[in-house]
Amino acid sequence: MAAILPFLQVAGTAFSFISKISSANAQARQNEAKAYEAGIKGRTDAVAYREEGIQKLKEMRRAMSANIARGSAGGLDPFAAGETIDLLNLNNLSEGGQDWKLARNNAEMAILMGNRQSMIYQDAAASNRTYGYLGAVADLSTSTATIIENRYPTESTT
Amino acid sequence: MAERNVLYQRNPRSLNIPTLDYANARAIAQGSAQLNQSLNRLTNFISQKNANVAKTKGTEYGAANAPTIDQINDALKTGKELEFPGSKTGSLFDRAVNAAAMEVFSSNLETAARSQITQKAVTAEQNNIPITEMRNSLDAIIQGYADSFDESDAGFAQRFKARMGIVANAEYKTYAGQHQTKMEKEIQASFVAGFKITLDDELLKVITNGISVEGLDGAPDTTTAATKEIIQGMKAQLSQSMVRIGFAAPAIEKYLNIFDAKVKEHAENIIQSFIVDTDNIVEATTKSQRLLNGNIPDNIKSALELLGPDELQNARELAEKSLNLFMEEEKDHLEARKILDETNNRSFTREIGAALLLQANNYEEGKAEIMRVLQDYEKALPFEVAEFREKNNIIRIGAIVMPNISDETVMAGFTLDLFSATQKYTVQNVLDAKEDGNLSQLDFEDIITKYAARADKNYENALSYGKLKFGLNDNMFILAPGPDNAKRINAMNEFESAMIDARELQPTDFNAMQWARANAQTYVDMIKGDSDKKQQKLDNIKFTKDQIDQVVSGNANSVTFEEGKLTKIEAMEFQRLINNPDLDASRFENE
Repeated sequence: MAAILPFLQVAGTAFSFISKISSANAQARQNEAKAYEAGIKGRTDAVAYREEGIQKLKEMRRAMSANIARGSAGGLDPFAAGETIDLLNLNNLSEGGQDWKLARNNAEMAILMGNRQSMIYQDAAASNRTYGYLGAVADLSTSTATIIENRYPTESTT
Repeated sequence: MAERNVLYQRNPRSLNIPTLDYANARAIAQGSAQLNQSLNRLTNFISQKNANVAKTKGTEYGAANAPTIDQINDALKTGKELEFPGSKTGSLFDRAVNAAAMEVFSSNLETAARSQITQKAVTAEQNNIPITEMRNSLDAIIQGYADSFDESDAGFAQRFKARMGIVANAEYKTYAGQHQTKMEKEIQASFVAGFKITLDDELLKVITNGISVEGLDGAPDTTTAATKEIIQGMKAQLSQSMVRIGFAAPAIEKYLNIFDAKVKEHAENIIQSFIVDTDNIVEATTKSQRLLNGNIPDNIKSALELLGPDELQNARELAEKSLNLFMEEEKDHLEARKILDETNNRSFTREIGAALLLQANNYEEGKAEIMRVLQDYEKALPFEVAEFREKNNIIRIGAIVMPNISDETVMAGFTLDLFSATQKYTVQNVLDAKEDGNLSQLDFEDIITKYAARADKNYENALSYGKLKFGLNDNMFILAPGPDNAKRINAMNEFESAMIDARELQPTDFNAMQWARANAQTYVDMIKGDSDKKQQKLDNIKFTKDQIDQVVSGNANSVTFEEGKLTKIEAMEFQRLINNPDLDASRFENE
């Protein structure tokens, strides 16, 4: 039993090293996947915001159309400058435009932040590998030194 | 009612900035933390390794440079403080050096101290040192060693003192126990020796010179301590001594029983001796009767008082038995002696008759045979042999200066009594004389030595040579052992003593005859010196032989001649000088 203990120790060290490398890779892959998902999500969110902006433009147009139609029906020149209808529609146009801009800004922000998040995850994946490998190497060194010391005791320790 | 204008409804949504998940920072932090742990483990391992190496090297160095036993002893002698390598507060290496040095030093110090303590214990046991002195010596040893490094490491010194104190205390306890046991044994041995003397000597004296409880007038004597009281006092004193010495109760009881038994034994012996210590049966019987009716000496009476009723009865019965046995033995002895005498008588008569018959036919052979028979029976039948000698006028033949050493019963007698030259002594006579106190140990040894020496033929021849040189012959001693020959015999004795001394110096290759030839003249000269004086005296006699004979044979005490007045005493002396064969008296013959 005592004779196979060193071999078990070497094998354990090797498996531990491999396991740590695998663990680092798995974490890296997980973060890479998250990076991909973050990019997708950014773009998806941007599309949603753009849809929202378009919807706001549609609502603004419906309100302006309704005012023109009512003005006309009421005997008012719907296109006369400075008149009520014109003023109402100008107001509707202003607010609708602001909502549209806001939606467009949100869409841009979603893309930018999604890309940024994707990069962060990619960096995290790289960090997972780097630190995982370094840690595995450090543990491997410690274990190897321990095995060597136990297996071949140096003169000073005898 | 007119329809109201339509207003655009604002979206309540504001600018939405998505939150970022800083996974990289988290991954870096987590990875760094894990890496840090791994590196810490590695660093710790390496640090531990380096620490071990430093510690090991330091230990080796410290062990190699620790103060040796010789240095410790030198420091002890000179009082110099010891120096230790390393430091207690320095680097790991320095601390290891110091620790190892102190460890080795401790071991060396302990070895040296233990050696000293053991040596002290051995010396103490040999010289029988008192235990207090032993305690002080051990303390001094420990203190001496501790002082050598007290200032270097006070704590270590204290621990050393504590540890060695245990060792010294164990040694002290052992020694104290041994010393105590030894002292007790010595005292007890001394007591036992004294006890034996008390039993065999003092007790015997006290009982032998016993004083009865009854005074001389029969009434109890209140002024003088009786033997019984003295012995009771001795016993009490003995008991107290044994308790004081430390004897156990069984031992005390044992010795007191021995004492009691010895008292009874001495008393019984004295009583028995009183009855049977005599060759006279009548006296023994009388004493026995006196013992039974109480008319006995005071010491016997005191001895009886020492016995209990049973022992007293036993002693009396034993005395009677001894008396009877004595009488029986005496009777047997007489009977045997009678039978022996009768047998010897018959044999002696028959043999002496045959010898006389032989003498009638052959005088010389018969005479020799008579001598042999007389010699053979002289011991067994002394009266009969003496009577035969007297009747037949036979002078005993016994070599005085030259005994017939082939006959073991014959012994030289001149050392015993110079002028009993006609007496023949046997070895038994010499032994008896020694036993009776008539012969000193020195004389006894002298006689026995001479007797043994004469077994040597060469020695015997040397004696014969000396006898010729001194002008001695056997007849001279047998027939005329007068005072005139005393000088010669004394000179002969001295000659023989000197020869024995020389023989003892060379026990293996001593040639007696050679020695006698070389030294006899010295002793002859001693006699000659005496003869010369007599010769001178003889030559100075102014009277003639006739004048001297006239005065000697006359009745007058003195006669006056022309040469002067000659007294009868002077004339007798002159006559002896003239008749002395060793002197030249030819002047008187010519006249």
